[in-house]
This record gives sequence, structure tokens and C-alpha cells, in this order.
Amino acid sequence: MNRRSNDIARATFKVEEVVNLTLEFYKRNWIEGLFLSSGVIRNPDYTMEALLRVVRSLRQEHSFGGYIHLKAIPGASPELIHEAGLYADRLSVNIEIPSESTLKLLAPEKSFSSVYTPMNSIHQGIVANRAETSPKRGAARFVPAGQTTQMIIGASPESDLQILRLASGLYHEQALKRVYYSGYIPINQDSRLPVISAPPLRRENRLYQADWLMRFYHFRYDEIVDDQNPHLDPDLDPKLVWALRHPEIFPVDLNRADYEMILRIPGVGVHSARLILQARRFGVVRTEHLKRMGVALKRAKYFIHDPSMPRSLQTVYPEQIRRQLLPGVGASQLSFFVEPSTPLLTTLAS
Amino acid sequence: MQNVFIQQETLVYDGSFEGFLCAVFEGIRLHLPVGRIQAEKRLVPEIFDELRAIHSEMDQAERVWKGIEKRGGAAVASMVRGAFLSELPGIETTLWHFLRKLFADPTGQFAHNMLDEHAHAVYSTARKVMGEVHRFLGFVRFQKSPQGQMFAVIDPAYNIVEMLASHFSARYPNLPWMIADSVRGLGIHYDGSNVQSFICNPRDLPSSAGASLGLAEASERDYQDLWNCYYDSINIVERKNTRLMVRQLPRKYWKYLPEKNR
Repeated sequence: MNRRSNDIARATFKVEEVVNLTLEFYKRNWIEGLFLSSGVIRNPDYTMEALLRVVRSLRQEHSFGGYIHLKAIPGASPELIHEAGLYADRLSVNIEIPSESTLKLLAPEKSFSSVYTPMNSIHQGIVANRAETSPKRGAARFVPAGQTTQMIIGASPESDLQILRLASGLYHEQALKRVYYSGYIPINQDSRLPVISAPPLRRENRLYQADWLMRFYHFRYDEIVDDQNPHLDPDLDPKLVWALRHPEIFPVDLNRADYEMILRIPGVGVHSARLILQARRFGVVRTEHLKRMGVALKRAKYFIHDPSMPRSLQTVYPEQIRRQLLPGVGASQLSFFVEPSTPLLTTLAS
Repeated sequence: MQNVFIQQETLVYDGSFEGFLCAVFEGIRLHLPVGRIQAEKRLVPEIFDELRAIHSEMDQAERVWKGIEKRGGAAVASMVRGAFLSELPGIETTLWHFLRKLFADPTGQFAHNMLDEHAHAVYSTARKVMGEVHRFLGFVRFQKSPQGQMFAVIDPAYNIVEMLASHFSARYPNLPWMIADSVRGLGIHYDGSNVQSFICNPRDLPSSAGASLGLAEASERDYQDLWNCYYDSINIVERKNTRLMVRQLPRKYWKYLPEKNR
């Protein structure tokens, strides 16, 4: 069962229509480029051939310089996919369901191998291309912006641990540039699919935060989720949750710690971590500098060593911090401070 | 008792970047007690102000510019230029303090000292300006005039129109286009090989910047309809998240979007 059994109207574009619309939209700077996908028409090769005609025409006849992201149709011949990779900046094959057993149940004609086969061949194509082409300008580049994939979250019972383990594998084995997590939105009724009232946007957001930790903050997936905690915390972001699970390594001394450690402080991003390293060559970095470097002190203040206080007095109490940072806590505190001032204002006005 | 009070001077320049560099040149050459540097058109005189008019000399400006590049590197030079284009009140004076400290540091590393208020102010102002340049690379929306020319009108907060030139000349190498800044009456024009800047009267431009079709050719309406149709069909209503949308795409830019101006 997939969109094939979905009884909705479909539109098919002619190749020239897609090419012309892309060029006219691009000329007006409404678009950066083209994201081209298709349901399977007749058979995979026929569909892939049609997609290929669009990108070939754009690149060769119209010397289109914009970005092109193309779906590789599972089951299409490797030669077609390879040629598409010479015109497109990015290719993607969607995993859809994060475990093979559920995939088999929901989409019997799809299997992990039908996804992994094109994915691996694109990966090998990229590796071979990077090894043989010199960085000279104009050398033919195969999929210069790399490949990506997408999986649907919440349509099947996988835990966040399973999802992040799969994503981590895709980043390491297939060297994907991005994994997209798409909260499930029901478009057709079937007893095999869950009935949900709203798409799991919160969960999707937490998964993206965990994904960022893996790609930019040097976290391993099993540091974020493990067998004891197979799901991400819906109330707090995964970096904060990790820090609360490891009170022993905090507070961090910004003026001594290495980049990796500074990067792990909740509220400190990649940009501010770099600024801290740069700034401390010139003097002592203090709390007042952090705010203008873009550090979110609301979270970071609990995890940073304050040089004016002895270290023995600075212990991180996870439970206390957790209570302080839960959503809604800040708002109720604010109203507590605002209310007493109201009568004062009215007295002044009268 | 000896009077140690030194009258500070306000250097008044013509408003151009070169003029500002000449003010820096004069300030350093004559060891002036610089209080402020201000553009002539934005001059707000204060009592007891000692004004000094600066004459723009291209070779002086050139020397200062080369000096910045040599001391701090190309990235620092473009940061100085970026911060200047913010046209924020007082930015010239901040840049003056920044440049004095930069020239006083033989290693040239001063520009990276984020603990210093001036270095940080220049850095963060330049970052804001570059952020706006980046957003306008997407929000410059071209329309076709009846003469077949692609044109766009924008009203950026900072004076960034000239910083859009290299991107769009590389993007449309064979297509003549022009971009006008309706706030400052400045613009750039590309004829298929070169970019030239021009000055225009803001009143000659369509009344509002953005997606409105003041001077456009009739077929523009058709393309906007097609675009809106595309926008509606890819839009997923269940995923609507206005807060996130406004954060990534502030409301002041919505006037450039055809789908928001039907």
C-alpha cells in the first residue's frame, strides 16, 4: 500500500512545460532551482528517462545554472541514474519507513534493497568521481551536492533510537549529506496505518535537533539515545538532556576547555564556540561577553564555570535545572514580576 | 592651572566610502582629536562642535584601503566596508576607533578580538549587513517591463544594492537586468557584460517595492498566477507553523512574495 493505491487526481507535465516554467521562474528569482520528482509512470525506466530529458534539456539546451535536485526512481537502470547524476546537483532515494519489517508490511513492492542498491551505486559514483576529477573548473562532476534521503516518522512503531541509528549509519556508510525526517500526515485510510489527530511535529523537531548534534556537534547517536532512553525527551532539547545526564563533566571552564567540550555546553552553538576560542586569545572571556556572542545564557549559565567563585561551590544539580528549564516555567515567573508593578502605574497615571 | 581639555573635532565627509577613508587618513596624518566622523547629509551639529570638512582624494582613500587589507587581510577589509554600508548613526566613529586600534596592532589580529567593544561592534554590524545581502539575494524579484527589461525594486534597511551585483551578473550572464533601491535612489544596471551603478529619483520608481506590478508587462500576471497555483499545490496545510515561518522569513519581506500579494 502506498500512494499508488491513493485515489487522487494526478497531473502529468510535458517535458517542455517543466523546462519552460523552471526557466521563467528562475529568471524572476522566485526559485533557486528545481526539485523534480515523479510517481512511477508505466515503469521505473520510463519515468527516469522522462526526468532525465528535463534536466538534460535544462543544462544542455538552455545552459541552466540553477540548482537541480532529482529523485532517483528505485528500480531504474544504473546507467540512467548515473547520467542524471551528471546534470543534477543532488540525487535522493527515499527510505520512507525506518525499518525493513514495517516497510514490507506497508509497501510490499518496496524493500530496503530497492532503496540501498541505487543509494550505494550513487555513493560509489561520487567516490570514484572525486578521485578521478581534478578540482579544475569545468571538469564533469557527478552529484556535486551529494545525496540525501527521507524517512517518514510516526507511521510505524520504530523508536527514536532505531531511527537515529539508521540515520547515523547512512551518514557514515553512504556518506549522505542530509537525512530528512518527515512527520506522518495521513492521506489515505488503511487498517495498517495509525489513526492520528495531528502530525508529530514536536517529535520531528527533536529528531532534527539530534541530527544536528550528530552532524555539527560531534555527538554519536548512542550518546543521544540508548537502550535505557530509546526516545528523545519531548520537553527538552537533546543537547540539554545529554548535559543533564552527565553532570560530572560540568561546569566547563570557557577559558581552558577545548573546542569539543565548549561545543557540548547547552546554549552554545558552533558559531559562538568559535568566537569564544578566538576571543580568549586576547583576554579572559566573561559572562557579559557571552551574550553578545550569541550564547543562550538561559541554558548555558548552569553549565559554565564562573571564575569568581571557587569550583567546589559550583555543582550542577540536574533535577533543579530540569525544573527551571521545562517549558512554561519562564513565563509564569515573568508574570509574577509584572503584576505588582501594575497598581504602581495606575497610581502614577491618576 | 594648565587647561588639559582638548577640543574634539567632528570630521565631515561627503558620504561616500572613499570620503570616509579620507577622513580616516586626515585623522591619522594630522593626529586629530577625532570626536566623531559624520556624513555631510546626516550631520547633526551639536553645540561647541568643532567641524572640519574633509575633501575626498582618491589616492588617499586608496592608501587607507590598501593599509586595511595589508594589516588585517581581505576579510577584515570587506568587514569594514560591510559595516560602513549599514549607514547606522555613529558607525563611522566606531570604525574610526576600530581602525586606529587595528593600525596600532602590528600582528593585525586585533580584528578578531571579540572582547573589544569596537571590534565586536564592527564585526556584528558587518554580519547584520551581510545577512541582509544574503536575504536579498533571494528577495530581489524581477519583473519584465514592456521594453523587455528585467527590473526589480527593493527597499533594504542597509545600503546593500551594490553588493548584489556579482551574484546576479553571474546568475544571469546573458540577460540584462536592473535593481533599484527605492529608499536611497540608487541602482545597478547590467547590460550583458558590465555592471554599472546609477542614481535615480525614488519618485520615478513604482510606489512600493516588492511584487506589485506597477510597470510590468501584461504577461507577468500570468506567471504570477502560475506561481501562486504552484505554491498552493505544494503547500501542506497540516504543517503550517507561522511562528517558524516568521522567524525565517520576517514579515517585512513578505511584500516581495507573489503568493502573499494576491
